[in-house]
This record gives sequence, structure tokens and C-alpha cells, in this order.
Amino acid sequence: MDNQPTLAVRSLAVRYGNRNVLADVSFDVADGEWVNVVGPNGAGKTTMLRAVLGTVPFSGDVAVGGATRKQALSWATQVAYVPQTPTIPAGMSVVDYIMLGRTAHRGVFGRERKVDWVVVADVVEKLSLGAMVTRTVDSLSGGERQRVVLARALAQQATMLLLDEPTTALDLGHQQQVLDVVQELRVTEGLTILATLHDLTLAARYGDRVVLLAEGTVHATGPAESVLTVDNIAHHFGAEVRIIDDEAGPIIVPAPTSGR
Amino acid sequence: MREPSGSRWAVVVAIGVAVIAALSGVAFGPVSLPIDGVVGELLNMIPGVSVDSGLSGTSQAIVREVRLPRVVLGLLVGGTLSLGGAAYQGVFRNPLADPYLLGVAAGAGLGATIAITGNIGDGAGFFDPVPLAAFVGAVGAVILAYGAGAAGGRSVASLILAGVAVASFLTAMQTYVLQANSDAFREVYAWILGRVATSGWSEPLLLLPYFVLTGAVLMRYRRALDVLAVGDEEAEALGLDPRRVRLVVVTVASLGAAAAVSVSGLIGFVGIIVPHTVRLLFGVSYRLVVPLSAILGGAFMVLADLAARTVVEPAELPIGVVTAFLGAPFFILVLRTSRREVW
Repeated sequence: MDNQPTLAVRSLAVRYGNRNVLADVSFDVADGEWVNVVGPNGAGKTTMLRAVLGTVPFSGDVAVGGATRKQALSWATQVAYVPQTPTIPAGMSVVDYIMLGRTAHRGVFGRERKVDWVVVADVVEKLSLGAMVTRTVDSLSGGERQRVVLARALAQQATMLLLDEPTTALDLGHQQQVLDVVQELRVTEGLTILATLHDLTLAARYGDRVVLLAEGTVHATGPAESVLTVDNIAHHFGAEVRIIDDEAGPIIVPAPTSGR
Repeated sequence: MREPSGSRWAVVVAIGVAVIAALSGVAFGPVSLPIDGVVGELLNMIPGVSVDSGLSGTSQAIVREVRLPRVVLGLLVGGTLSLGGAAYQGVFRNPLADPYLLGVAAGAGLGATIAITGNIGDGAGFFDPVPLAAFVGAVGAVILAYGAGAAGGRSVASLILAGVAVASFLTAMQTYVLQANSDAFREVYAWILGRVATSGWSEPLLLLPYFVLTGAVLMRYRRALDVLAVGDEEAEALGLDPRRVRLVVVTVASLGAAAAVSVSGLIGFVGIIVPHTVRLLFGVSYRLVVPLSAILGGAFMVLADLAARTVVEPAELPIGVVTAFLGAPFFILVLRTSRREVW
């Protein structure tokens, strides 16, 4: 069973009331792969991530490492999550915040053990957060904060990382910085990554494959060049774009004909 | 990397403050006693210890049977209410939360009012009916609010709203009962304003198990309270069941608060002010907020009681008046001078 995908999503469906938010979503993420989910607003990207995480009720199957689970609780040691807008508790120090990532390892009642401090120190070093450990998370800038939230996820020592719009609210430089860090960690830590991304060019540049989600279902999967086409983008995003071919992946630029 | 070392010292300092408050509480009053004599007499209470305290027989009795039980009750009431406040603020992620939020005060008030106006008679057996009715009312109110709030998906907001509705309903009932029995007005009002007066050791002994239960469970759950600070969804993603933690914490904090108000009346403000003072001085982690709230809450209540019974000697001020009168300016001072952002 060597080729078993790290994440297997089969016929995933989520209903809010009598509205189908997601229907018949199926895809795989292979071990060590980085898959980006793109789609217009309201396509169900965040809901899909939450269903994979197990914090919203769903039907269908989500299997991580071959094991099917329904709830987030039992697999916090396997799947770590970086929310789009993390709740930042006022006054909590960076080191205490990263330590939260150890919750599933030490148990509800457990004290911080030596191994927990070692893992936290290790993560702090990897993400170069040494200078800010004693500061409070709410005093950090957007870019620093995103690295700290990433650090908390890494402290979970999970094999799979779910990132919900990790670049929102960051400027161009910090967007690249965060994604570069993710790429580096993916290699050094052997992580498997599933991310939702707003920016199509970034989605094409980072990661291996793209899943196009629209109206609650998967419309295309594959390498960026085959998914992010002028037609697909016009059809699902209602946007007129030009695509510039670049060695490292297509560059998508808005080119509305009504613009001039 | 390891745990910051300041925490142990903070606990030691807090215990020191509580000991000084307790000694002052025992030594000062209508009859002031020498501190060394008080210490000697307290040591004498430890089995096997016998020192000459130099106190007269009357003074010894004042220490053992009057002041010490009262000080111990103050420590327990203040500690329990502060623990309850800290716990509620944690699970509801709301700086103004305390057990009164889910109707502990309103329920206890209604229970006590019914018992007083119904004139159920004094000392029905071992139990005084007023605290018993207050306890039943307080616990009933929380069960009602939690049940109603849980039906709405058990989100934090629905619980708070259910609590507000239940509290308003019970307060309206209490007003109605009181209106129909206006002769009991003074007595009910006096109960509401609160006191830590004792008749010997029965009240502190009654409250002790609740304090121990609340303290022990919250000490176990203090790291879970830190996790809850990031919200239910993230807590769940980190491997913590927020609903279960909330149920356990609300249960023990409410039981403790119900027991405290049933013996001491509706002393307000302590559950809000003490945990926030601790946060402003020592940081927001519940690793420290829980134990320090228990210790300093007790110390604060003992000092408030000392003021309540000495400021207008030989009369006594209601302690609920003193906690707010002393507590509010102190809290504003801490709020203005602290450079921490705690909420």
C-alpha cells in the first residue's frame, strides 16, 4: 500500500440547512504533494477545508493515511490547520501560543513535558521567531503573525498541513515569504499540503497541482497549465484574463476589455 | 526553551499576601489583638503544637471561634467567586462573564427571597433554609440557562443570551414575590448585599468541599482554558473538545459560586475584578490566572470584610458595598498603570 494517498476525499458533501454547499467532491493528495484549491468567492473552498479538517459535519469519506475519521479531535496529531483569520488571544505570548500546538500530544490535563519544549524550541528556530518569543502575538505585524500561526501548526507535528488563504492580508513580499517558508518546510519536514489560494498566479507558481472548485463541486484537477486556462477562468470566475507562459508556471493577469 | 520562571514566585508572593490579609483579619476588629499572640494561638491549633500565645481566655476564644472562622469563610468565598469568574471568562471568551451570567445570582436571589418571605422557620435541622433555597435556586438557574442555550447549538453567544433571559425571568419572579411580601423587604435586601458573618465553623465547613472541588477541577483544566482562547473551531483542530470542556468548567464553577452565594449573599464584582487584576499583573495564561485568582480572591475578600466591620464600628457595612467601593478604584488604578493588553 505504498502508493496510498495521504489524503483521499470521496463524494464529500456538506449541507447548511437545505443548501448544498459542497456536493460530490472527490480528489486525492499524494504523500508529500502540495495541492492548491482555487475557485471564485462562495465556491466552498473554506467549507471544503473545514470538512477535511472535521470541524463541519459532512457526508462522504475523508481518509488521512488510509484511516477514515469524522471529527477533528482525534486526528490533531495528523492534520494541522492554519485558518484564514486566526483568533488571536489578547496578551498571549508567542511561546504560549505555539505551545497550544502541543495540545493533542500532551492531552487535556497534561503539563508541558520536556519533549514539548524541545519541539517548540525547534519550531521557533526553523521559522526564525527567536527574537519575538516573549512578545505577545497581538503585537506582531501581519507577516510575523502568519509565521507564528504556522509555527503553532508545525508544533502539532502533523504530516498534513491545511492552509486557508495563507496570504490574505499580506503584501506581495510577505505573501512570497510565507509560501517560500511553506515550500521549505514541505521539503525538510516531509509535509503534505492542501491550501486554498485566492491569487491564481501564486496558486500556479507554488505547489504541484490545482483543484478548481466552483459552485460546490470540482470542475478541473491537474497541473496549473491545464486547469488555469482562459476559458476556465472566464467561465468560473467571470473574469477576462491573459495568461503569460513562464517556465515556472503560467502568470495570470487581469485583462478586462471594458477597462479602456 | 522552558517554562518562564516567574510563575512560581508569583504564587509565593500571592500566598504571602493572603497570609498577611488573614493575620490582619484575625488580629483587627472591635478588640485588637497583638499579632504575635494571634500567630501563637493559630500555631496552637495545629495538633501537637503548644506555645504560650500570651492571650487571655476570652481573646483565645475570639481568635478560635469568632475571627478565624470568619477569615476562613472570607478566603473560601473570595477564592470560589474569583475562580468562578476566571473560569467563566475563559469558557465564554468574554471579559464580563462570571457565574452570575447564567443566573447564579438571580436564582439564588429568588430562592432566598422565597425562603425568607415564606418564613420556613429557622434552622430546620442542620440546614438553615435560606442558604439551601439560594443554592437550589442558583443551580436550577444554571441548568435552565444551559439547557436553553444548548438547544441553540451550544455556541457561546446562544448560552450567554439564554443566561440573560433566564436571569431576567428569575429576577422578575423575585420582584413579584417580594412585592407581595413587602414586609420582608429589609431582610431580603440585607441578604442580597452579602456578608461573611459566621456562627462558628459551620459555614466555612459547608463551603470547603465546594472550594476544593472547584479549585481542583479548574487546576486540571487551566491549560484547556488557554486553548479555548483561540475559539471553538481552532481548539477542536488542536485536539480539544470545546463543548465538553465548557460543560465541565461551567458545572464546577457554577456549583462553587452557588455554594458561595448561598452562605454569603450576592457579593458582586469579585469574580470580575480579581481575575482581571491577576491578568494585568501576571499575564493572561490560565496556568497562573487560576491559582492566583483563588489565592488573591480570598485575600481580597478578607481585607474587604476587615474594612466592612471596622470602618463604621460597631456597625458593619454590607460586604458587597465594600468590595465595589474598594475594588473599583483599585482596579482602575491597575488598569491605568498596567501596560499589558489583556483582552
